[in-house]
Amino acid sequence: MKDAGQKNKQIEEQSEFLIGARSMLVIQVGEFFTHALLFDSVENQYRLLGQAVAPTTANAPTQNVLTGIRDCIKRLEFVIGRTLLEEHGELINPTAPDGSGVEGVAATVSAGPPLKIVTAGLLEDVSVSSAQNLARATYCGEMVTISLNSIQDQASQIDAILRLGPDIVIVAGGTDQGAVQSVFSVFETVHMACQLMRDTERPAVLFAGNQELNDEIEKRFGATLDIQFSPNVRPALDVEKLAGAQEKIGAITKQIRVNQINGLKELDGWADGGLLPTAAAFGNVIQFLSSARSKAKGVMGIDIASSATTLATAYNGNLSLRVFPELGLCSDLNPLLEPESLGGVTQWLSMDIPVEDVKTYLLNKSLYPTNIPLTVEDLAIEHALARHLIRSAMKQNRGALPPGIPSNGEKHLPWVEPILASGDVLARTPSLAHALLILLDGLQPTGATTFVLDPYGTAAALGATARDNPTLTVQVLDSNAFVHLGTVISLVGDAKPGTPILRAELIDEADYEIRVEIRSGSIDWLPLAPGKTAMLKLHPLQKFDVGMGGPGIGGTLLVKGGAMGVVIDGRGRPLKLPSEAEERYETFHKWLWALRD
Amino acid sequence: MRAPVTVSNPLTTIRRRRVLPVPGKVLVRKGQSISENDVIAQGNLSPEHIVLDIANGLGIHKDEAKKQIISKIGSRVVEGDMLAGPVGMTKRVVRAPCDGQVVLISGHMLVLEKLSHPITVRAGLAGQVIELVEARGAVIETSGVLIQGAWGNGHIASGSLHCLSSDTNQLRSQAKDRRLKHGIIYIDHCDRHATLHALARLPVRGLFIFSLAADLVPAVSVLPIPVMVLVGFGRIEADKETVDLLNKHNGEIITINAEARDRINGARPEAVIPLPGNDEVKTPPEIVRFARYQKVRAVSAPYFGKIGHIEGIEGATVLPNGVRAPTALILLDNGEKTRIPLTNLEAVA
Repeated sequence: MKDAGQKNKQIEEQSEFLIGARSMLVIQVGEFFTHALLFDSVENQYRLLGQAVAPTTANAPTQNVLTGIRDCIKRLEFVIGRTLLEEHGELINPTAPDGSGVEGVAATVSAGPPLKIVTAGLLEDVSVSSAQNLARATYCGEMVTISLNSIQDQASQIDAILRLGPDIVIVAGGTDQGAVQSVFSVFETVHMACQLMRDTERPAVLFAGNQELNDEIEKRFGATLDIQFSPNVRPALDVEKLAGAQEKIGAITKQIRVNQINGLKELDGWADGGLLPTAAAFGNVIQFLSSARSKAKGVMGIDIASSATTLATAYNGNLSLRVFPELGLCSDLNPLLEPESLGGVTQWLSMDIPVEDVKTYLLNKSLYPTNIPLTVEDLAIEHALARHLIRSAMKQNRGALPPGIPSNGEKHLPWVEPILASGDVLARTPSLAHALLILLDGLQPTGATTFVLDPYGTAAALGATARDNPTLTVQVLDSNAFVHLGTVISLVGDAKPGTPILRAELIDEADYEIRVEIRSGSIDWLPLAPGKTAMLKLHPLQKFDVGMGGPGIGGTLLVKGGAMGVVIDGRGRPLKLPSEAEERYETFHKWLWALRD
Repeated sequence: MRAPVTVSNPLTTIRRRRVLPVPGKVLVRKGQSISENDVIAQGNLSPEHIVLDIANGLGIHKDEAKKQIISKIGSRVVEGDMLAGPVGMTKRVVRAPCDGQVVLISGHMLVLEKLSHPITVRAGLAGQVIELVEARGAVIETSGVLIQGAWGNGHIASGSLHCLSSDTNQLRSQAKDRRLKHGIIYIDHCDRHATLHALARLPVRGLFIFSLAADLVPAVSVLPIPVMVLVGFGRIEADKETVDLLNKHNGEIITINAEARDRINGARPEAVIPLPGNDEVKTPPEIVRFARYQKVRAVSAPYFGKIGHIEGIEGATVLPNGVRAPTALILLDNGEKTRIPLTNLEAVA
């Protein structure tokens, strides 16, 4: 009875919040651009009323993000015809009687240089590996690793830490009720290195090891180190648990950014302390969706941003978050000029562009990262680059997913639905077919899934409010702020190109029936409008696997429509591209035209 | 919308902050006149350390060891100096294994910092020190022509400016030209290894190139002389205004600071031709908004490097490749009118 009473009270409080919080201003401070979006209740449903963009002003000469934020809000005011700022630039909150202002603010930040992180632990394959996985849940650039079983002596480890000048030190080690002295030894090295730094340059230290040592660690090292504690990332030798520590590393990242970037403190104040790193917030929304959905599949999010590519995958509410600052669209692209990496980009070119021109584009993009492709050739390179970045992130992410999750084999993306995709490169494609093909080529899902495009970068901001205001998150996910691309059925198998591999029938709500035969190497679509559902009967041929129980096994699915209807991808997994360049260009065009019909 | 600014100005006041990445010693004083190669400050970037376990070295319990340390934090020692002890019948001691400085005593551990070669920060331009930055460096002011670039290989040099043809054969024929000795060469474009080779054989102190072929970047990156690329990579036609400005100052002293671009603090490669200033010479604006009549340079194909003026700011426009983006209508200096995304423009100040 007591539990039920508490739950009711919680729902009542939530309802009060929803009624009170009629308007929500979402501010995203990106590496190069700041976005502002206003959501308000229209007929008791949250809707996107307008959005605006302005350059981020974190760097020289302004070096204060508030300037860019105010620019952005002023543009938004112009778009929606409503005053949001007072004359001297303060946000009007709560709403004034004349309707100006907002009732709530959610904010995220991805601006700032990649973080320098030291990961320390006892054994490289155990606690250090988990500390590294934790570091990759935030914007980790350079990383130095120290461990007890390293061949480096203590002085070399201290020098390595000092050379890096870390923002964060993550110390892991000691399973629960495990090692004690070895953990202190590792901490001693970190302690000595930090003592050699100026007070103002000392990093935040996160201990994510044997929890029984927390008090003793605070007692021994707390006077000189700013130590924070999180749940053990390696509670047993064969168990890795990053969830609690991921949240902590997100909080530490936020604090570092607030200290690094002028104006974020004020923004955090506007958001009632709710400012979050964009990646952490993006992870939150994926975790939220996963908690609310079926347990048979996970939920996946990909954000291809200027500063990093983020992959968030959640199963039953357990989030795996990976941030790849080296794989941002505007990251230092010089490493891509190495022949192997360059080949990774050029294989995705949809037209004949000399390698020299691709190199030129990548180098110039490093100089002018905010450039939008203006020519057909530049657009082809940008889209090839996006595919390569997604593939690279997927490859690196393989080991990060928990064991035993449902999939069509280790080499393939595990079964996930939906896949939520963010990023300017997807939002500004000439057509939705371009965006979907970039995602399909990059992610190469198997079985049935749905794709949701986030053209305004709203998902991360929803993550910043998901826990406090789940209603807003749910309603906005179903609102005009997102584009539901539709359902995609991806087949796994091997057959000669052109061989029939699937017969499908789509029967919509009005019993209207469409039949299609899919041939190996092709992609096709069936019309099904957004918001509509239909029965899709699948009859795989040639022992192709449609994710319904094994090779050759078919069945009937209830599928959701979208802007791209129902797409059936018969190009195989992994996707094999023709080796001859001319044939490859022709194939890319054929695939694109098949979806643009 | 705020515009990124590139400066290409025939006479302006230039103020630059030159600081060490770590605390160190400032070697100049306020008001001092300095040249571009003068060292402003020096410090130790990443010294090496030696950790000495005093308890182990003396063979005593670690609680006792601290009392036996005779060195103080900050004391400089030479190899063989006694750091701790003597203890026991055999008068055991711990001695410094090398020259250095005691930087930390933590319990029974002593950390010695080895003496290392200092890093320095140079002025980068000739001028006057107008402000000191404590333990880091100084702010220098001068006046003259300022041309900001896009890419640099990290070196600094000055010499007399020589505007030459990009033709490889002509460059080869000038290999023994004494007038070029210790000079800074400007050419419009370098797109062949042969051209770069010919340039590298000239007896010069630095290279200043409007555009550079992407393939040559690895080779240029390791050249021991400064190389500054003005606009970008690929074959980009040099704009007449820049070429005229440089030709006007042909033979005069120019400094190129080919430092890497750093968006956080706004540092970028630049060339300075010192000229006498006066009170009316102003610093270029740091913040410019895109507006009608604003002078701009396109920084993407197909108009890369071209200068023009904004005729109007437009909302989202569909570009020839199908992408939608906010654009500006630009009247290029060659009389052509075109639409270019705002993100692909730099304001020229």
